[in-house]
Amino acid sequence: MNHLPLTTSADPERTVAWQNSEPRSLSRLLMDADTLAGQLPDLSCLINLCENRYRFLVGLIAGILQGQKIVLPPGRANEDLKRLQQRYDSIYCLIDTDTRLGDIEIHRYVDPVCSDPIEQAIPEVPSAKPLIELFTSGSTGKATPQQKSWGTLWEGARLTGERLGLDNLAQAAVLATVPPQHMFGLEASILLPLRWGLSVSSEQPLFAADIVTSLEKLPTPRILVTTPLHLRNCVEEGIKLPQTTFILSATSTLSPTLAARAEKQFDTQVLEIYGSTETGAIATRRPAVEADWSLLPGITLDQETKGWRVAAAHLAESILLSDRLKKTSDHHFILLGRDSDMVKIAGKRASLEDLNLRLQSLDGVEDGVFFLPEQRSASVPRLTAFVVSNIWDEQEISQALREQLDPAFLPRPLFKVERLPRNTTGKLPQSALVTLFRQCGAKQ
Amino acid sequence: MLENEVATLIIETLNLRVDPSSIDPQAPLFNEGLGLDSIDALELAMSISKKYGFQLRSNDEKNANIFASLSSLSRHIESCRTT
Repeated sequence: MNHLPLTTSADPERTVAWQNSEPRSLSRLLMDADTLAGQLPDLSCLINLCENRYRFLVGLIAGILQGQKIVLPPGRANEDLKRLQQRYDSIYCLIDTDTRLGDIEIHRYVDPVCSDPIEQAIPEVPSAKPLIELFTSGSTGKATPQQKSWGTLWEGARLTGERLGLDNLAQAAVLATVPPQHMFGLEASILLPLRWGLSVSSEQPLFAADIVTSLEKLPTPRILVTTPLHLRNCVEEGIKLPQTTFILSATSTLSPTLAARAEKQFDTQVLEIYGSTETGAIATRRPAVEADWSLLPGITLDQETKGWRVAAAHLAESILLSDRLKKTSDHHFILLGRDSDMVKIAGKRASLEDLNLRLQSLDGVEDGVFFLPEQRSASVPRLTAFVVSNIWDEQEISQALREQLDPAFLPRPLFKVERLPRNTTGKLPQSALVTLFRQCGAKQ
Repeated sequence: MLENEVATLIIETLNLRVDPSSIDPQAPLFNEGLGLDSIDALELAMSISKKYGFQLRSNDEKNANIFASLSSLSRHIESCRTT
C-alpha cells in the first residue's frame, strides 16, 4: 500500500502549534502523539472531541499511529454519539474537557509531561485506506458518514494551498473560529498546516473581541479561518484586527458587501472556499471583487439531468452537488441557489421535507410545516415553523423539537396556527406561507 | 430589574416566542435549557454590545460560565456595562 507523510516539513524544530502563545515544535507534537498512542484504549474507532486544536491534532496522530479509525461526529449531542455506538462496536471518545457524555467509553486527554524531545521520524500514513469518517451536516438522523483517505485530504490540501499561495507563506500561523471536527475546519486548520508547514493556534475564539486576542498571540504572517457569521460580528462590532495576511471564509455564502467592508476595515483580503463534506474544497473566489468561483486545478464539473457532478483524481468517486449553478467558463461558475428542499443554516444542511416529517410526527401535533423566510441580506437565516395542535402550546412544541433537532434548525419563532393554508390538493404553496408568515409577524 | 431586561433582550434578539418570566434564571441558556447555539451567542453578543456598551469575550476561562444561565449572564452584564 502506498504511503504519504503526515507532514511535509521534516525540520523537528519547526513550530506546528501555539498553546497560549507558547510554540509547540514538530518533535514535541510527535512525542506527545506517541505518548498518547501508548495510553489509548485498544479499540478500533476514536471519536476525537478535543476542543483545544493542539490536543485534537495530537489525538488525530495518536489514533493514526494506533491504526484506529478517526470519527468526527456531526455534533456532541448524546443522540449523535448513541448513533455512532450503534454503528461501531469498538468505539470510544477522546475528550479534553470535563463535559459529561452519555453511556460511552471515554479517554480523557491529559497533557503529557514535557520531557526533552527525542527525534522522531515523520510517520508515514497509508494513502488509500479510509482513515477519517466525518458526516454531512444535517438535521439529526440524516447525517450520512463520509470516509476520507489521507490521499484525498493530502491532495485536496495541496490544491487549495497552491491556490491560496501558501508556498510563499510557510511560516504563517492559522487561527480558526470553526471546529476541526467538520470538513472546512479539518481542511483549513489541520490539513493545510500539515501539508504546507504552517502553525495553528490551539484556540477557537467565538466573539469578535476573542478573535482579536487570539490573533495577537500569534506571530505574523497570520491567516484567519472563519465563517460569514463571525466575520459579520467582527465588522459590526467595529473592531480592528491585528495584521492578517488573508481571511478564509466558508460554510455559507459570504455577501460581497460584507466581504468588501471586512477587507476595508481589516486591511486584508477576504477569500472564500466553496465545497462540501463530500467533496472538500473545490473552488475559491474573492467575493469583494468577483462573483465567479474558480475551480481548483484538476476538478471538473459536468451537468446531468439531476444537477452538477464534481469529479477529480483525488476523489474516490464523483459527487452530485445539491446547489444549482451556472458555468461561466471551463473553470468558472456562479452559484444560483440551492435545491428548494435543502436549507443550509450556519454550515449545516437539512432537507425541509425531513424537518417537516419530524415536526408532523410529534405526538399532539396535527399538522406543521417549516418555512425559511426571506432574510435581510446581512443576517443569519433562521427557520420558522407553523404548527397546528390542540394540546400543546408553542413552548411545549419547541421543547419537543429541541429533543429531535440540531439547535441550528429550531424554529425562531414557532407560530401556532388554526390551520395551514393547504390548497385543494393538500399542498402548501410557497406564496401562501409567505402570506401566513406576514400575518403571524404582524400579530406579534 | 436587570434580569427581566436581559430576558427580554434575549427573546427579542433571538425571536423566541416565550414569556420573559418563563425563563428559569438558573437554567442553562444553551443546549438543554433554551436550546440556543453559537449563532445565538453571536447575535446576543451584538445586542449586548449595542445596549450595554461592552463586548463579550469568552477567551477568559472564568467567562465560560457567562452563558450558564440568565442569572449569570445578567451578573456579567451588571459588572461590565458602560451604559
